Amino acid sequence: MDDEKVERGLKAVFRRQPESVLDVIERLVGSSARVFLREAPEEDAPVVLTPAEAAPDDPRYQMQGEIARGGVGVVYQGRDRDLGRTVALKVLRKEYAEHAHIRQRFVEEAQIGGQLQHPGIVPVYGLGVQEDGRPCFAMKLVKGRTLAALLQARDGAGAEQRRFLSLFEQVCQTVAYAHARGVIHRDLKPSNVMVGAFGEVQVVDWGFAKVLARTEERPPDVSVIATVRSEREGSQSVAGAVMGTPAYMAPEQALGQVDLLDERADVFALGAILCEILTGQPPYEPNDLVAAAQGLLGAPLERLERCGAEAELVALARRCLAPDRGARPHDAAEVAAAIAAIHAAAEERVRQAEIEAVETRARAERARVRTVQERARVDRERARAAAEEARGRAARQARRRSLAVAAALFVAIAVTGGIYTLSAREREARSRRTGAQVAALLQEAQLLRSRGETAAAHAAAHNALGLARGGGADHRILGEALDLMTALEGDLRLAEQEAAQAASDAALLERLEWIRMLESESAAAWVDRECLAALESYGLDFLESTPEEVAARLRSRGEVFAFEVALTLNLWAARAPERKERLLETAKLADPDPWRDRLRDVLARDALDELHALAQEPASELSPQSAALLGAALLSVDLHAAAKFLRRAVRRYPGDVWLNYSAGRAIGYLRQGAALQSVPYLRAALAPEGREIHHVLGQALERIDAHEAVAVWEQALRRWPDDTHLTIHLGAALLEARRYDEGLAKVREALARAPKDWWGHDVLSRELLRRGEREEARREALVALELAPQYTFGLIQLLRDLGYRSKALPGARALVAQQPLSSETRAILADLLWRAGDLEAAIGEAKAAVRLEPTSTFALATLAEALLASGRREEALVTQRRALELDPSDEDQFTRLTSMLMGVGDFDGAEEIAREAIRRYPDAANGYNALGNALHAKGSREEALAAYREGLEKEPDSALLHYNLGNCLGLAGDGKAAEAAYRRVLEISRASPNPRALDTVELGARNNLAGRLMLTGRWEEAVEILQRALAIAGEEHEYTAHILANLGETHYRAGDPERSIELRRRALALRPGDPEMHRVLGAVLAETGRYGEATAVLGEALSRFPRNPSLLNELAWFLTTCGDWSRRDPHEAARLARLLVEVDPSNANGWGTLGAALCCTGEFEEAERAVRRSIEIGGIDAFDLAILARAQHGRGLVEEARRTLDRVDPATLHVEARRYYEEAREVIQ
Amino acid sequence: MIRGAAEGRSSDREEFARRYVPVVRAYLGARWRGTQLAQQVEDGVQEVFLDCFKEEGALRRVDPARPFRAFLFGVVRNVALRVEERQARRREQPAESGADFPAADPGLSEVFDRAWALALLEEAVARHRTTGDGRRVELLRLRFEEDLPVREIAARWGEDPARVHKEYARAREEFKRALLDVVAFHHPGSPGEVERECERLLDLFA
Repeated sequence: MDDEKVERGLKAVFRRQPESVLDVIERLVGSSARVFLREAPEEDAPVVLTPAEAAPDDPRYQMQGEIARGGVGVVYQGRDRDLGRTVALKVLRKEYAEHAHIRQRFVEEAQIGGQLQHPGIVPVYGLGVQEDGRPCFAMKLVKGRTLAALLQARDGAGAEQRRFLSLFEQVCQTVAYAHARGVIHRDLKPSNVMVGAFGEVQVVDWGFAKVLARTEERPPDVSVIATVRSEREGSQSVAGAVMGTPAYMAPEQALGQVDLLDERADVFALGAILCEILTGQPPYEPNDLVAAAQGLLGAPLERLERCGAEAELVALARRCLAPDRGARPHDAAEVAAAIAAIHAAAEERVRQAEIEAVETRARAERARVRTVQERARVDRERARAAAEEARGRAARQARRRSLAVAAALFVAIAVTGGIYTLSAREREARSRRTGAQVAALLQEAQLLRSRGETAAAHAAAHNALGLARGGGADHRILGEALDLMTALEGDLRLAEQEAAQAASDAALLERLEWIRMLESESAAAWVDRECLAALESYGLDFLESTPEEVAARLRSRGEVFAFEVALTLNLWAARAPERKERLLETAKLADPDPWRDRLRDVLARDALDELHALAQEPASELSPQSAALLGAALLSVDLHAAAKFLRRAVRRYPGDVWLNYSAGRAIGYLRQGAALQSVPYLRAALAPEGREIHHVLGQALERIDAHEAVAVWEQALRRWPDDTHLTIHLGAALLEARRYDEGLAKVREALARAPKDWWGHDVLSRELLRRGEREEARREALVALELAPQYTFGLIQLLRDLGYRSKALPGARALVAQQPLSSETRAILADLLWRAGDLEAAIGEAKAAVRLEPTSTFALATLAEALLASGRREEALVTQRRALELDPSDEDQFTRLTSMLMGVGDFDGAEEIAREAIRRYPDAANGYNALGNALHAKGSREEALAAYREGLEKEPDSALLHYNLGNCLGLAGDGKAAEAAYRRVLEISRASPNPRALDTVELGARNNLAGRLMLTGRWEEAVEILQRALAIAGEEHEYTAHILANLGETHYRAGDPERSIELRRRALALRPGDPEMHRVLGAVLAETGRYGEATAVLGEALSRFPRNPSLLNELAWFLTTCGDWSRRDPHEAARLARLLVEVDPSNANGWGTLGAALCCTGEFEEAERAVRRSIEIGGIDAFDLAILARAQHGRGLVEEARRTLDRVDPATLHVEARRYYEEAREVIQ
Repeated sequence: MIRGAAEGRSSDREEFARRYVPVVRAYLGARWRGTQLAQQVEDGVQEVFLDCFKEEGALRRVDPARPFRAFLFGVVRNVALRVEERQARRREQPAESGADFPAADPGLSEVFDRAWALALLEEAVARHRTTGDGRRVELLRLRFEEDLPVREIAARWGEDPARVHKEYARAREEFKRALLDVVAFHHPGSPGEVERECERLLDLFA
């Protein structure tokens, strides 16, 4: 191993060269993006691939097939593995691999393409060498049609002139750019111009391009192209070689005079293209090189003269086609400028025509006014003349009559004749002028119309008509203008109607999306009402129209639209049994597809077996639409089957938004804890415009990461700021994130705007309940109930929590009536029946739920619980085991079974299942937790500790494991370690993205930690910890009462008994059924000298729970040591204590209390036996010593009693125990 | 360690995964680069380790007398083929976008070997860090990570270049020993065989 090799290795490891950019990203951030976008919408001409013949292997590009084969290169379609985009990869053909100059030209083509950066030139992405040494380059894959194909497809020669001239101008500008950079194309022709779907132009195939010498004058700010040849002197093209296409070729190029070739050769080709646009043919026949070489342009020029195009265009084409290159425009920029000028002139003419039309109208008006004034003047003159005439008539009449008449006639004829002569000439000239202007405007209007610019065409035609009417155009042209105007008005009406219809379509789809969004949380009646209203607002009366009429209307708006509406019809059918047949029939007619028809037939028959069979068919045979429809159908009947099928469908169509969305939805609803798995699907479906998907994603995130859910709702609200339902979701997510005040404010804000959103009232009610504002919470729940009388699952739970069992149960029954085939609904009813104590009915419903969905673990678990509650323990365990067998992938099933086994006291069974869970999920904490609990319950404390600790090795941040470990450590006497474990729970909760999920564990940890702190006298910290616990728990949590009781204890110890009593009273009010709450209140009352109250509280509690050990102990103790001697009753105390040790013989306190009571009744021997039993069970403490001393003294063992008493440290005794001690001391001394 | 991992000892399994995850990931990443399967690299890595760790899994079949590299390569390749076969069954026709055909195999074994070699070299560097002289470890880092010539390192340290050169030669020797140790662990055999395996690994960076 030489040093050089070692150094190479060191270099490699210290300076790793990643294989691709993705590797670098992966190394830096731990994962690399693998994004595959959907294909762009299909364009006019998809690229047709043929199997690649010996496609080269390229490390970066994956070859997908051959697109085209040119003179020297083969173009493949390839996929860039790193960027995931499709490219065109041009590779030099094998036969030219050894031809140096062809290789050189090939490389040059890539360099030219790479350096020419213009929207009209296909960008070259990179140049490379294949493994066999052939050069290749990757460029953008251009999709579209060639200009040649477009020219051929038009209606006739010269048609759509405006559109093609616009494309031609883009070609000229592109070539002008190349010229400016010193490149001439040398093979410009329509088939080398690609036109994209949106009219964008790209000049392709620069394989014959030539880089002009650098010495030529270039604009100062434009750099010239450098290629392998231009970098070396004297390496120009081979003299005499003819490259290009004869039909478009300049004479000097056809003659092979390579040295004479410059920009003007391209200008000739541009002229040839223009000629084809105007006349329908290029100057020469395709292969007539001789004609091209001799510049035989007689026929094409004649065609140009006859084509009827504007004179300027014809003149430009002629100039470009001049055989003498000196007579052509200098370069493409000049041609582009000329074309632009012609366009500008045309526009100017239109503008002028408009101005003239206006002026003409003004002139006409002025003329009309003048005419009226003239008439008035003439009338006045006539009147005056008539008067004068009358005056002189008599004198002149005889003498002058003949002469006057003759003179008048002459004047009249002369004047009239003069006027007539002048008007006819003017009219003729004006008519000619106007005619030309109107014709130009009409042509413009026609062009605009052919391009679909109806509004602009209408404006032009309107001007033309105005001009024709005002300017005296002849009847023919006026008629043309009128015809065009009528046609355009028709077009405009149609366009307006189409725009209105499209807006109406969009509005309907949006409304249907909104209905789908809320469908799962809403009543069937609501869905029905909203769907009918949506169709009605679209102008469709679903109830009055036949399915054929509705379907025809939907289909007239396109297949995609009809499918989307049909999809909603399917969902609607699932919620409206009475309309199902009609809805499915309509959907079939609107969205005719043999497979989907079959599916709808199955749905119409409610044939669930057949539906499941359809889901088994290979997803690869289904279209995405069919898969979406089947997925949606399964979603409403069988979540498991839906999730399974949709997972497969997504694998088949990974980019399909609707399938991803449905899969995410199905998986998320599948079971508690599955939300996490649903999120990747939902994220894949997330589109900025998809309100429905925002809705489901946000809901899923609420269960996983409340902070992220808040972000999703905020994002959605930025897009739909007025959506009150989304605002409520934001509020709910804020509440989940423990941002209580913000959340409450959002929900209230939304409800102020949308007081009828039942779900808002539901959320508000829950939060109020948490805050302990029970009355207001009830009011809100009732509002929700009124708005959503169908009682959805969540609302039913809320009602149950609020103590409205009488309403929750009928709600669940109503749900079952609506959805009798829904396993989940039946299971909910079973759950309520079980809680209401109707166990047989509960078991019946749960069994029905299992029959409907034998694989539903939710139904099985509910059945198991109901069976267990009714004492059918074996059946319950078998059922729960079945749930576990069905879905062993669901860890929750293990947890549930172990809890159940623990609940029935089968700790060995629980241990066995926990070990099985660990075997299956060796890295998950739950199994270890269950094992620890089982071992703890069995009394194997050390083993339990080991199990918890092993679990924590796997999941160091499991709050539950730390909590249970803390409990176990506390009982094992390691208070410090227990305290540390509880503190760790608090840390984990603080760092958790969804802290509310840890509420119960955190509250337990806080409660127990406070207990530990109290034991060591750290009251203040204990109070702080419990206050925070109280804020988290609210008033309704199952731990709230315990926290209040503990808080009461801390206040008592801290010297505030009043506050302590108040807190314990609150605790008792919250849990009146909990004997411990009675006991702690009684104890504090007794300790503070409120003996009467203490007697009442403890006495009443004991009457409710006559065999409760804690209460028995507390009351016995009270009756033995009460500060008010009149309340002492040692015989009753001894009776209670005897009962206590009978109920719980291992209760050390009980034996101690019995001893104390017996000392007071004078039964000293039995008292000594009792206290020794207490010491035996619970170890010796000061209190036991005090009792023992008293018993010894009673038996006459005075010295022993003194010695025993001396061992007592009174400082360690509580108030009443100290009182007992003092009394003993007094008696003994 | 491999036996411990096969028997389920969690510390050995962690160590096993720490060492070989980069190698497996590199191979699968290269194999599925640019295909839809690229999205399943992490799943594939998991599957490889499940195959190794399951009861009666692949690790039980490891022959301590034979090189482990070839064994691991076999496991990874089998998993890759299995995933591809599953994918092919799911998709009865090619996807509309992107291709799903894994890259050709021959070049990929080299990817695996290079990743393997890098993993071993990294391990050797780590080993050198703990066993070697601190100053020499730093010297190698400066020389190769920061790409400083020995002369410049000497200037930076304010020492005589000849002395630093000697130090550098010693550092190289130290590293060589660490590398031989690491390779010997993975490639049992006589010292000569271990040396040859070392050469073969280093040749991959030629």
